[in-house]
Amino acid sequence: MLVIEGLSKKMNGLDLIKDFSLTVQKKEIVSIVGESGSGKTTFIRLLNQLDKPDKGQIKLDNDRLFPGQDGHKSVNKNIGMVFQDFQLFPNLTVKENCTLSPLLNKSIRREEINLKADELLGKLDILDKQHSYPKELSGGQKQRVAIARALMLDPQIICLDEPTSALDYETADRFGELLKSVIKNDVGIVMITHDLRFAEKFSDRIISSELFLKPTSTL
Amino acid sequence: MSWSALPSIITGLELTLKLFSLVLVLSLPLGLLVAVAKVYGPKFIQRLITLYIYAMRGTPLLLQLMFVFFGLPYVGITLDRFPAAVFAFVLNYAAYFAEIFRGGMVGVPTGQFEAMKVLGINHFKGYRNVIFPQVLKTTLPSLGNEILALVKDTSLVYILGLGEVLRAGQIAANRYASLIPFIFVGILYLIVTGIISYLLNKIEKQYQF
Ligand SMILES: Nc1ncnc2c1ncn2[C@@H]1O[C@H](COP(=O)(O)OP(=O)(O)OP(=O)(O)O)[C@@H](O)[C@H]1O
Ligand SMILES: [Mg+2]
Repeated sequence: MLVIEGLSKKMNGLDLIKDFSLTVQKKEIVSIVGESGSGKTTFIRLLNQLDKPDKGQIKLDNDRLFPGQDGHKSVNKNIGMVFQDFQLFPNLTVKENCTLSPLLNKSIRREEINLKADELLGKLDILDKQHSYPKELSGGQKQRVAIARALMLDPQIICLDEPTSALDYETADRFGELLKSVIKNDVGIVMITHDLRFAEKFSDRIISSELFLKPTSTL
Repeated sequence: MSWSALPSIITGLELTLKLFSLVLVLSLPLGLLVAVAKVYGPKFIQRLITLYIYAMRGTPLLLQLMFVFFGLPYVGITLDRFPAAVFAFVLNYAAYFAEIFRGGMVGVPTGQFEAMKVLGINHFKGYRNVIFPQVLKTTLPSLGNEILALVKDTSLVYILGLGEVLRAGQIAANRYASLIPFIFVGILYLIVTGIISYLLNKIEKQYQF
């Protein structure tokens, strides 16, 4: 369970997020909608420790993500992120993109890592592309690789930045079904989207980014 | 030309190739190190490196060679011809390589570093596996140009009295009052640069991701 309390962040001297609280359960899909420039991307960057909050707390079960145990150095692999532009590593194949971090961090044995990657890529229907390089993939295929790469680390929460912006209705719906199957493994999802239709169809809760600036009772 | 000039030209070629390869193996890693220090080092290191690169690129290599071999002895530092040549060349080429590497490094999108961070890949391993291959890909053409320039620049060491291939050719031309040694030396350069271009091309093909 992800618990965010009293989170605040200023950008260029202006309050972007102020005293914002939110809880995301396992197996829950939370969508964040709202105007451009309202701080949605900033919000999930704070969750992933890519930007530093001014104030507040972020906890994942019993782990304190912010403020960190000491300092703010540790990277938490229990929370994953899929960037809007995916940021796949162009010099690595699909499979290598997925296995690089587990291999470098030696979390489990090499054979297990490979098996896990095959299984995930299979589930995401992209195993046949495992030896391709990112530039040889379509937008939707890249996106699935980015999700597989994030899932390789068994995160409890995955943040997605506008995952459907490049997809047509049909592909978006298939992607929504995919998210539904992803959360079955006790994963919670925080998703930014402009696509209200999609958000209504696939998320458990929709939150407007207007609430970043309106302290309310805990969401 | 009398064929008896051949051995001395070949010996000259050996020296040229020895100097070229030694300078290359030393200046490439040094250049990379300088680039990393310029991008990530503390401010005063960055300033120092800017100055170093300015000095190396802003003055003739010939002057730098003379400075090291003829100038440094006046302050008590005497180097043999060959080490002096290697020293001056490495300092000079490392500066050019550093600028090329730095350009490649700042060209990698920040998103790649953020992806590394979110995936828990540490900076050093990430650099080796993700960033550096991308830097190489974008910088290979410019590196290639510099490497070919280095082959030809080695001829400058004739000023130190080192018997590299061009000097050997000139001596032969004088002795036999003939044009042929120059042509022969030219062909040798073409063969060497041809082989190197071919190898560079092969390496570039491997970086077509
Ligand atoms: N690195 C930065 N430095 C300064 N200001 C920034 C930075 N990143 C974002 N901002 C500012 O913060 C505000 C919120 O940006 P953010 O990217 O979070 O918005 P968003 O809700 O994701 O918008 P969009 O829907 O257009 O993606 C914007 O006004 C933006 O200019
Ligand atoms: Mg955004």
